[in-house]
Parts: sequence; structure tokens; C-alpha cells
Amino acid sequence: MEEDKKPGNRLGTMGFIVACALAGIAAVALGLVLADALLIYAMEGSGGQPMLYVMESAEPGENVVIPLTEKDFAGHPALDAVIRGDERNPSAWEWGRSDRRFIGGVNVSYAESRVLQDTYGPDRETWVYPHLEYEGAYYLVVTTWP
Amino acid sequence: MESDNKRLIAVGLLAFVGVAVLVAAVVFGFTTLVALVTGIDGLPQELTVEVVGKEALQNASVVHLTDRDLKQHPVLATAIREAGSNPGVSASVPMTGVECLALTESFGVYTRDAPILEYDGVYYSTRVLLH
Repeated sequence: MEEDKKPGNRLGTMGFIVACALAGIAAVALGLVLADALLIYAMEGSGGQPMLYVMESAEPGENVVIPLTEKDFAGHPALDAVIRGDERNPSAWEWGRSDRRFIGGVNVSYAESRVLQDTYGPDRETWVYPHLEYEGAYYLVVTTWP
Repeated sequence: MESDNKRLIAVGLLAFVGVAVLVAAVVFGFTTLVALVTGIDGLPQELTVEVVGKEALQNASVVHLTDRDLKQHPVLATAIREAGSNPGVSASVPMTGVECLALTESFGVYTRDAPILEYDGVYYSTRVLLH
């Protein structure tokens, strides 16, 4: 008992507690990553058809505007196909909201759907969608997760 | 002493793996449960299409669907396939809020004066049910 009161031993105990806490945090983080990978794996095997949909907005309004670059299109071929490729299939402005129209959609994987949502989806706090600007037009990116 | 250290390391490793697996299982189980109850994209909605005759076209707008339209809207494709081509037959297919938004902006399915959709010579009226 007396030995525990020595400064060296106390430091060792403190170090042990800190190491345990850090290992605990790392284990929880690893668990979260594992759960995410497991969810994606389970969804990919479910036979669902996640879709990427792009809408065009007449005006950006108060929303944040992000200019789309060639890097965006190179990193997300599905987005490229819908905005300026074969999957571009714009609707008339008259349906739904008159200041918004459908531009196109394409089937993507669950992993792609997640990445597109994280990159171009709504702000996590305000849930407001950013507008993506390309050649003077403003786009909204939405994905499904069936 | 060395044996104690080895035992401590083994217990620590087991605890580390145990916590990681436990967290993964709890998060996975909870997310799956929430998805089963509410759907991941929010509460489920339902698209109903009904085969209508040419008399329904009076005063109604008609949107002619292409194969690409159906490819881009799998929910609509499924509903049209299930409804077939006999007048009066309808089919309902569940859809997410995002799919409903895409269909509304494309073909006005969730608007007061929803247009009649035409595909392959057959006319369809549409309706959206919210649960």
C-alpha cells in the first residue's frame, strides 16, 4: 500500500488510465467505422437501386453557391453524366415548383450515393442544400437510399 | 511479473475488440431498426398509377414518357409495368420523399392538376399517397 503513494507509481497509474481511455476512444471510433462499412455492405446486397438526381434552380437565392470544377466531374463521373453527359434529360419548368426543374438521374452504388450526399448534400445543421454552379446554371444534388 | 503483463495485454486487446464489436453491433442494429420503421429517406410515400382511357385526356396535359424517363425513374417504371395496359387497372409502389420530389419536378405527379402520362400508347393518371 505504501508503495502506491510513491510519485513514480502514481504517475504510472495515471499513464495507465490515460492509455485505457485513449484505447477506449479508438475502439469506439473503430466500432463506428465498422458499423458504417457493415451498413454499406448490407445495403449493396439488398438489391435496392439508389439514384443520383440533379435539379436545376432558376436562382441560387440565399443558398451557398459552390462552383463545379473539372475536378468535381472527374471525381464523380455520375454527376458528369447527368449534368453534361448522356443522362442529361431536362424536364419542362412547368411541373412542381416553377423555379426548379429536373435535369437527370442515374443509378449509383450505395457507397457513391453516400459520398455524393456528403460532398454536395445539405448542411448538417441547417439542412439547406448548396447550389452547384456550372456555366451559369445552378444545380441541386439529391440522392436516394432505398 | 512478466506473466501478469502478458495477461494484462491479452485482456486489454480483448476489451478493445469487444468494445469495437459492441459499438458496431449497437449502431448497426439501431440504424437498421430506424430504417425499418421510418425508411432511411423519411416516411414512405406511395405512387399510384391507373390506366385511363382517352376520355380522361379532355382538358388534361399529356406528358409522353421515353425509355430514358423510365430508366431514370425506376419507381414509375415499376408502377407502369404492374398496372399493365387495361383501363381501370391501377398499381401502387412505395417510394421515398426524394423520388417523389424527382417525379413531381419531372412530371408533376404531386400537383393539383397532375398531367396524364403516356407510354407506349397507354395513358396513365397518377396519385401520391402520404403515409
